[in-house]
Amino acid sequence: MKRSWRTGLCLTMVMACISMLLTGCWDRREINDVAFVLGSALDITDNGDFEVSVLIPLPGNMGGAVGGGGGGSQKPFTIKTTRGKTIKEAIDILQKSLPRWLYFGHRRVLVISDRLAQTVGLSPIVDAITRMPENRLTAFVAISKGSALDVLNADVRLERFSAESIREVLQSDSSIRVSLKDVTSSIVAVGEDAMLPYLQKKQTNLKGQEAEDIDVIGFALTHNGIMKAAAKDDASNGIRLLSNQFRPYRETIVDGNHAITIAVNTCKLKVKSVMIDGIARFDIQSDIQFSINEDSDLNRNYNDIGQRTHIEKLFEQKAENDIKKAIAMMQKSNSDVIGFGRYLNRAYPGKWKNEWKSQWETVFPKCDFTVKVDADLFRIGMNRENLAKKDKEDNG
Amino acid sequence: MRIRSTAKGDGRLDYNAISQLEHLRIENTVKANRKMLEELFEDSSDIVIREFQIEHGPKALMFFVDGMVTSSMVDEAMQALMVFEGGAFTIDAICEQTLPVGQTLQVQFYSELLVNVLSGDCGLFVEGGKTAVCLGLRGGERRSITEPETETVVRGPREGFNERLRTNTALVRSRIKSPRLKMKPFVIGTETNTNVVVTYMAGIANRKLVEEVERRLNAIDIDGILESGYIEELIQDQVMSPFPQIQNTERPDTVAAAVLEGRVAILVDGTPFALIAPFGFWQWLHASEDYYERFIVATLTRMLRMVCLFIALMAPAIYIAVSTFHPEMIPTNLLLSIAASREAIPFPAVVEALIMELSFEALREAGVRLPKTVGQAVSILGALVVGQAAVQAGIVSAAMVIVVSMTGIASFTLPRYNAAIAIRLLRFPLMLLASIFGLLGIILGVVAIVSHLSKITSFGVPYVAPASPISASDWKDVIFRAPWSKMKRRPAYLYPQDRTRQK
Repeated sequence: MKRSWRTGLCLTMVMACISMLLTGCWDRREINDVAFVLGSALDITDNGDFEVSVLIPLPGNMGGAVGGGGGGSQKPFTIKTTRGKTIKEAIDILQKSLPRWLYFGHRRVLVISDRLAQTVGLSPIVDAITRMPENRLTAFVAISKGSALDVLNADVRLERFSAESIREVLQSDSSIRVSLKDVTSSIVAVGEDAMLPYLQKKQTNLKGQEAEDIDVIGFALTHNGIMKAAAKDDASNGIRLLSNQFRPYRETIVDGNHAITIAVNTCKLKVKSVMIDGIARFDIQSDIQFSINEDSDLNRNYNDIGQRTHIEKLFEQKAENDIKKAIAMMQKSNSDVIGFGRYLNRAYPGKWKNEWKSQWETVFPKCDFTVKVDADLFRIGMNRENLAKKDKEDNG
Repeated sequence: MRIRSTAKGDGRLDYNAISQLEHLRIENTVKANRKMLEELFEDSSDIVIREFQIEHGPKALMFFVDGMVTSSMVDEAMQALMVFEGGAFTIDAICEQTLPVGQTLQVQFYSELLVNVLSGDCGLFVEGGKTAVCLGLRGGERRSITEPETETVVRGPREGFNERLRTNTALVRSRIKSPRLKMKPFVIGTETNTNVVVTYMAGIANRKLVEEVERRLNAIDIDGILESGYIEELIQDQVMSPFPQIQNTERPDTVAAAVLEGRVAILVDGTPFALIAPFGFWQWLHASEDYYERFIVATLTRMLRMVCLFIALMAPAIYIAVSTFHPEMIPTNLLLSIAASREAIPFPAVVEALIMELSFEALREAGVRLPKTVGQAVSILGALVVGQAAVQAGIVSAAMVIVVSMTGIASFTLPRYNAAIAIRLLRFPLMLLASIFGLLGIILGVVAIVSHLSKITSFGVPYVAPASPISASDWKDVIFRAPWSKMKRRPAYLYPQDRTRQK
């Protein structure tokens, strides 16, 4: 049978018409029928069930082009929460009661309560998330002090959604960026453990200005996916200095009666691993550049090189202590969040493979560390001396 | 060929086209010729037949089409004849000695005489002569040379073709003052006898290309050619294609540039649009001004047009696909604002897009066809209805209005109108594909379009040349426009006889 182009055209037309009827099957979903999850919180109940909460924006209350805004009376989002034996079960139960399809492709933060992290650990969460292609592995993960739902439900004022607020805080300098992908890869790797930002809700009780904010109070240290310790204050600064993604931070050191606020701007970390009598030792050398942000000693003469080295010494001492505190905490909780095992693997691949790798858990707490900090005061601000100081010399 | 019918018995002329009169000889006597003319032009009030006596000489007859000759010059010629003194009275002598007319042509047969006279010449019979003379006294009212309306430039010549073939050829010739510029005449259309000129550079244009153009023109058998579009469709390589395979232009400088590259242009009497072949995909992005502006600016402009081409073709389709199938591809904040603007819209995205695109196309069509005075009212209506009111009434979302207006603006940036309408057309199937299969559908559609583009040819030259088949040296003038000092060779994909432009 000979087919002319007319037959071809007819066939195409018929197929095109039939396929029009197919519209609506497949994975076509109008934006109006989707509930975009911007953030979620994971808690554990007393009987061991998961409690999953999701934050869903309400486009109708967001004030689009029409209507001129919700006026602040109604929140532009809602939070739903359910329980289930698994995370997915909880989500399925939630889905049944929702008119819109829950969509996790835009989840940007995942908050896990410390109780869940300390008991069940992160492994079931990683499993639930990596099985679904919809989930973004670039979402930020954090551990909350107390209920994760509480943190997610924080009444933030500066952003439209608390999830947005958490995300901004997590990617700012006050934290270290940890995504789901990082957590997964460090749980999988031997010789490295996952470290997550540790969040807390902070309240403002000023009259008429009642609000809640998200605060990064430190870092949660895990071992095999289970949270073992929380590094706060000094120890968290030590972790920052040891971390391979250094983020600038501020610190106030005390010099006698005076306080100096300094900004730690750059940190070059050198870790050298040596083996002495079969025991691994890490020589940590940290080159830090810092600047002065405020100095309460009005009479300090910065032209005097002795004063500068004095401040440098003070800070070196502080940083060294911080790092030592952090290492001590890591060794105590047996959580190698910096990945010292990987340093060892690079220096002694054979020994690592044959001996240390299998018993890293027992080796790591016994390792020796030497810490040397070299601080450089490279900037003292716009003025060399304090402008508030009385001018003693008469220049007129 | 038998001309006078014997069947009817009345001995009247029986013919379908002037060309059938090619064996009809000019008669000896003025009387016989007059009889023939009166028979041919029965009921034709615009034909003037004027018999007169050459002074001291034979009878003569002049005939012409009223309104197509310059009357004053006809008067002058007649005066010269009627006060003719001495000399021989043969046609040759009259042509040589008496007539103060620049163009004269002696013809022996009626067909040739009629074509010339109906084109505006003045015919002259002299008693006893076996030939007639065509006096080139063409004139009459014609539109003057104005700025081309479809291809305006900021910098560049402002002259455009008009409806008169000779003006157009002169405009080209005045740009290329070389005997190598050839203007081959053709007469096409059995009834309209439209004058057509094929122009090319001898020694540059590929001979086979010129021969092929001539062959295709000669093969045309149609009663009338009223616009170059007739010829374009009759001689193009593929009929079943939305893409134009022959370029049209109103600009003499564009024709001159094409001819110098080794292309062939076809000028048609009665239309300001000249045809240029071969034509390819990359010429869609080229405007004549690209060659007059600085090369960096021209290159960036071409890249902009390339981007706009994709926007014009795919923007609504991508919006539909991404918003209904792949919301994860939109940045979260943008997605939330789209969601907010779409919240109250009752239609699915594809219906919304179709409504907007159709009303936009309708507005554009209305704007083109309506008289200019009404055009303003249309644009006000369009801005109100398609723009604001539709959004405020909650029929379409603001995001969709932005997508559609971006598409519209992008499609206006293409310098070739005939290519832009093809893109406008293809947008709709892509939108449907996007609504059924998402991005996958768009990819399928684009693959189909690209494979079709790669398949078609224009006078044997692949449509996407020099991209495929690749000829690297021609890339200087595709997306980039190299400075003139670097473009020393003519495009290789046209196979010109002489590739050297500069030594």
